[in-house]
Amino acid sequence: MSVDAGTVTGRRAPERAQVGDLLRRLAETLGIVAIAGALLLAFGLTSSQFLLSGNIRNIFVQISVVGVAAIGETLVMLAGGLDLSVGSVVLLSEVICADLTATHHLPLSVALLAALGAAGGIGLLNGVLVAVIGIEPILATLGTLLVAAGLAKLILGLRYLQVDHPVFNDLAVTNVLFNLPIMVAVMLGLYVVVSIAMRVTPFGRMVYAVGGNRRAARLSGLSLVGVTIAVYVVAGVLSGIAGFLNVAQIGLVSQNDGMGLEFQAIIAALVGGLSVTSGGVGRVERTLLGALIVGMMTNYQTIKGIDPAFQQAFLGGLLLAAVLADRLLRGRQ
Amino acid sequence: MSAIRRRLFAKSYIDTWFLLLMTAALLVAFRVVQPGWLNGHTVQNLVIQNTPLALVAMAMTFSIISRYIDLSPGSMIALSGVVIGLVYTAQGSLALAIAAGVGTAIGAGLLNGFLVAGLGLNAIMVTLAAFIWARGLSIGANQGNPIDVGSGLGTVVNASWHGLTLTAPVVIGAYVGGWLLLSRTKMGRYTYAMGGDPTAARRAGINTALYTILIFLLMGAMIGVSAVITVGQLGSAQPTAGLGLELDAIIAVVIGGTRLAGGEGVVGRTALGVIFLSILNSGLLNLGLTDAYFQLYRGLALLAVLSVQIIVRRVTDEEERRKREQEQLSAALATA
Amino acid sequence: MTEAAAPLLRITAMTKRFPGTLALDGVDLVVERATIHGLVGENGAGKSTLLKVLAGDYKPTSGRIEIDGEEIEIATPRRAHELGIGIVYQELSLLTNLSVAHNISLGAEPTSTLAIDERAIAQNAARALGRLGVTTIDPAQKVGKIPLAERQLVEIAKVLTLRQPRILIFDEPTAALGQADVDRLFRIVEGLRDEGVAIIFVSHRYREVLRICSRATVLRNGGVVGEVACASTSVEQLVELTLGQKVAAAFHRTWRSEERGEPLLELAGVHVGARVRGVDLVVRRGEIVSVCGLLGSGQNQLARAIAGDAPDVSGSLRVKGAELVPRSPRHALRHGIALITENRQEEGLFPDMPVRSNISISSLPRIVVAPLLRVINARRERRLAREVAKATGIAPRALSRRIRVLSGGNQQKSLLARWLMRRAEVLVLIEPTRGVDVGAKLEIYRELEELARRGAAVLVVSTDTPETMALSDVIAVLYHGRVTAVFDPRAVTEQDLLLAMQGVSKPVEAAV
Repeated sequence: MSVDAGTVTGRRAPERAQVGDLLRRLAETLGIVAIAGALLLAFGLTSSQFLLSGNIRNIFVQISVVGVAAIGETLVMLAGGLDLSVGSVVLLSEVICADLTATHHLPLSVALLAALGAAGGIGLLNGVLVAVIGIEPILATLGTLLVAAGLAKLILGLRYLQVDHPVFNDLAVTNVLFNLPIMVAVMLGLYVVVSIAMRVTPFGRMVYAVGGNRRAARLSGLSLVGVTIAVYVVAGVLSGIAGFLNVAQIGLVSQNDGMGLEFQAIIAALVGGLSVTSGGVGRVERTLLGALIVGMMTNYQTIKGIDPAFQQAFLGGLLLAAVLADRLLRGRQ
Repeated sequence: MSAIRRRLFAKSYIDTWFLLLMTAALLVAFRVVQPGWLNGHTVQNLVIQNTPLALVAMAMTFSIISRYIDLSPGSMIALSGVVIGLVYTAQGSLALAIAAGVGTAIGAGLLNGFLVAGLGLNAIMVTLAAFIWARGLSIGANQGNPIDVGSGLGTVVNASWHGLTLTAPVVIGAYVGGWLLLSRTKMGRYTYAMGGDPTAARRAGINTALYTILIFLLMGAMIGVSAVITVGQLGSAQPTAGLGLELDAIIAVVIGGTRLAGGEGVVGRTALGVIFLSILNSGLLNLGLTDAYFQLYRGLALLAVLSVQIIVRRVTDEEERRKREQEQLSAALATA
Repeated sequence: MTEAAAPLLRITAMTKRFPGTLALDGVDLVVERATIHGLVGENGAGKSTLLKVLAGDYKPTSGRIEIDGEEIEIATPRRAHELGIGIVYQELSLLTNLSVAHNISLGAEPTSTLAIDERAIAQNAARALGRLGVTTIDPAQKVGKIPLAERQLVEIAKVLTLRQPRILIFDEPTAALGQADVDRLFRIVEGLRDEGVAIIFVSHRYREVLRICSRATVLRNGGVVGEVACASTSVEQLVELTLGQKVAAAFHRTWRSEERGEPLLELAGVHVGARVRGVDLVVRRGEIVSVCGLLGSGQNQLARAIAGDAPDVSGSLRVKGAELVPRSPRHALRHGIALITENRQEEGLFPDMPVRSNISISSLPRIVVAPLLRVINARRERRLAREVAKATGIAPRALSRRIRVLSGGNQQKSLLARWLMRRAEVLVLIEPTRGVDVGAKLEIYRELEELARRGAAVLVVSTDTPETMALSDVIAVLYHGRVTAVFDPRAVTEQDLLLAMQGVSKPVEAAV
């Protein structure tokens, strides 16, 4: 190995390892694409409805909300944390958006700002609880889940809020880009922006570093508190955006919106290849693939008339499969 | 006598005292706001309703000591209950139904244990998956509708004798059993070992896979019993049973003073945590708060207690570390 | 005429392959009963892998193990226990949350019906500790609360409760012990030998190996390079065997600062917790200062304190003349102090990131396009990375690879490169060549010298005395948390240094 030229005595078998390493990484990237492609093929062949352009459009619309939320969850998990408050923050954002526009007739920009502010605020709370006080992420975000849900339900009361704003309608209906509505474009756009940001910004590097080796990150001069808080705030804001999109999609805000969303986001991230055995391994863009795969499966099952409850059971099995695959690929840590 | 007094006021019991204080404060506050609360009848209800929480939290203590978190209990209680309902509807035999339900819970425990201990998968993810698929199966089994099991089971479960319900001795028995298991048997010892230092435990020749699976089986058993009680209480198997139970159980254990980092903890503390949580939940519910305030206050209370706990711990840990270093220094100087 | 009895332990052609390394390469080892057999070699030579195979932690790729003439397989730690193999580990494998007595019987608890027999456990502990002649340890005390030297005795007691200990292995047992404890340990070990146990003694301290062992096997790069009779071998000969080259041909300084550089780091009466009690030290620009001591003397804590990674630091610390106590690594770095610890896997490397990113992680502000536009300038990053890689001897081709596939030496060089890119002025290194092969060691020494020449101040904490002697401008010896000697390596012998580390010191040299 030329890297070790100049070694006086030395014996190693590294060449084989490097090729193996490269192959494995290739397999990871192509693997998920291959799986998505295979599913597309299989579903298309076994259902006449699946590949209709209207259906494909449906799939994309349906994964938009989870998709955006999953970006934030991916970032948090990459940095070594976990965010269970995603669903509640989505609900909170929805409620604020809907309430301010439908009930108080404030301009949409104000409503959006308020919603994102609140969502970011919850994210900030998460970050402080985890990074400054030191509560385990699972417990901290569980607490904020309750707080955010409580706040949301306080504003919402017992009603269903119906929203009928031209911008919301536009988001859901007007097609740009291959017959896909604006909200899908927003989701895709966010993926593009965040994926690139993770690769080319210092923030991205720091997230990977903190997730990859916390102690080394600290000794390298990174601010663990800063990165952790930032990542939770970003996740909060993204959940806020997801809530905004959800209002657009459904036009109706009810008490149980967003329930379980965090789990769907986690599954999307894991199916997309985020590793739980190795910290700091995974890519945001792959979460999109994960969300697509989950979306395709759900859509196919709905077409075939499978009970949504059993679809959920299947989702649990899918999570197991993803974790198993991660373990096989990366070995025990 | 002073030795006991010293132990009682030892730093490590600050957590416990704080919790007792909070519990007392809650009781007083709730009594003030709602003077009629906490008569014999409501206490009975309190006990029955929180029996599943108590049982699951007991088993969760074992899980957390050995550094695992189990997210499946709530969904699994629902699933076991649904199995009870389905078998009863199909076979008409309550005994068979109960056996099937408990068997399901234990089987799931075995499955999860194997995935975690045998295959080395992440426990949070494995139990999260179970949380998801068990709930899905429960709801899907009867299109989301409850399954009736008649009143036979209900009379047993809801029976009371001089104000003491049947479930109370079950809980007490479980905790006493859990305490004995944890402090007197190999399983308990190895639970502490695996949680304290998994590598050292393996090196000592401990079969960590086996004992991890046993811990999951214990949880399965508790889930099974809880499912029977839940079904009996309502006279039917609800697919929405146990919603949020696992998180409550984890909170009870952690608030009781057991650290999530593993390696230490006792079921007695969990019992305190369960009591605190039951009173908090029941009291808030009793105030007739809307769902919104209920969640909000629970969330704030939880975060507050956890924060105080951690800050207090940090301070006492620091002092202990400093003291130990001083002792080491004087010992070293003495032998120099 | 009786046939010669088979040796108690015979290992033949033991090979262990990992993805990326050949840890053991056809190792042969024979240990007779009632003997103490030494096992020596540099870090990374394969000693711990061999031990792990014997302990049942690793499965060998190929090779044979025979105990008492019978071929056996050690599949699990439990099996190792059954075969009578006990190991006293370097990183003690005691459970700090359990008591001494519980630890001693861990894994083999006597039970009466279902419950653990606590009385029997207490008896076992008393018996085991008694056999060792130890009276100062309270078996009911939690292990987390007793000092290191006593923990080691507990570890040994634990190993003695094996049903039938036949082969005992001691892995670096004296690393943290004072002389009195070492003597006590040796008495115990020799006593065990006299009872017929075969003992393998792994140590870096060659004097001790030669003192207590009858024979010693030398490992280098996973293979056996020699087996010696200790009575007729000298420390120099052992060192030669482990290094693979004559000591004289190893590293020499080719440059030393002519005049005294400005002091970049000045410590006066620095205390760190209870470990470091009043240290005075000066590290100047252009100088390599080594801080030496037996493990546990406080040098690691001192190094970390300087870099902002230790609690309870008090006293006077001046960095470039300014009074400053670094509160965190980030704070220390802002003032130019960087740290490389002894544990690069857990505290230095980001295993799944490419080498280039590992290097640039501490210099992110340097490689952004513009202070306002926080986007990384890939070209600048590549250029800077190439520059520092060249300076530290990393092949440019390696920069894109994930750092986990690199050898230990190259990983360490990457860490050096990281601080070079960051332009750290005070570089603190703890055991910089641990787990690094000989060739890379020499390169690293050369790079440290180069760093000093370019104006950095280098502080090295090392327990490797030949390395210290060859590399430093100044050597400060720490003993029980105090500086007890300060040497110019050109004016003393290695023996002086070793004695000083042991607490036997010459009068302190004139203030540096």
